[in-house]
Amino acid sequence: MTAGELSTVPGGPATTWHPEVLDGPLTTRQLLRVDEALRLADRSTGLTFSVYIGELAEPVRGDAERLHGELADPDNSVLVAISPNQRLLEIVTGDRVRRRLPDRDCKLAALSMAAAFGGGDLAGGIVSGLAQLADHAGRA
Amino acid sequence: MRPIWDSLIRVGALSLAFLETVAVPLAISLVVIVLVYAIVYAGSAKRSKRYRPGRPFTFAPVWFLAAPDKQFPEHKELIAVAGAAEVTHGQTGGASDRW
Repeated sequence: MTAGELSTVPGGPATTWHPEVLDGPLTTRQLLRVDEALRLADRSTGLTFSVYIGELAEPVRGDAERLHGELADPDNSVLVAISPNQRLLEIVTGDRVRRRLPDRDCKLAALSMAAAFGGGDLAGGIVSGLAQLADHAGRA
Repeated sequence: MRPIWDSLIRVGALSLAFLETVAVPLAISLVVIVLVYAIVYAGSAKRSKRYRPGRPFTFAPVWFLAAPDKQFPEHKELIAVAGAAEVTHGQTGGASDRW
């Protein structure tokens, strides 16, 4: 399985990988769907997509941007940060990604994801959001 | 007719009490029903542990990447240890939403 789980806390360095992802919020089937969506999005766009699910510290936007900055190549990366308890989601795009994926397109994907989350479908929202973002970003 | 009657007496079928003849099949049926209920309940209980937005999120934060080893390099630690300035990257964009 290529989708990994990073056990981390907002504000701390993220370095240790655990196979405990199976104890997380997604079922094995949902994990496979998210994994597939991430790989497809990465492969088709040449960008790096990642999904964070967990608490975000205030200010939420700043914390999501900090997490985005922890990626290897933030300028070419997209982070979808979802905080279920705060019922909010943040999409952070890097400097170069912004040219291919304007904020308006991100907002459309965010609306679609929020609708799915509102309906109780976490994995479905993530998968459809990633597909939309990858579609709008276009091919590499 | 006579040989059948004899064989029933021989195997003890006629010596069974009415309660025994009713209780045994009833008990077997009940065991099967309970087993099916247990299997169904165990399955739904397992599924209910999975998260659905709207419920309290009690899981550890998770971060998914397509290729974690490439996209989370260890040199980040080295930069932090060396006390270098934060990794510089351009302006970020994106969007926010609530549900």
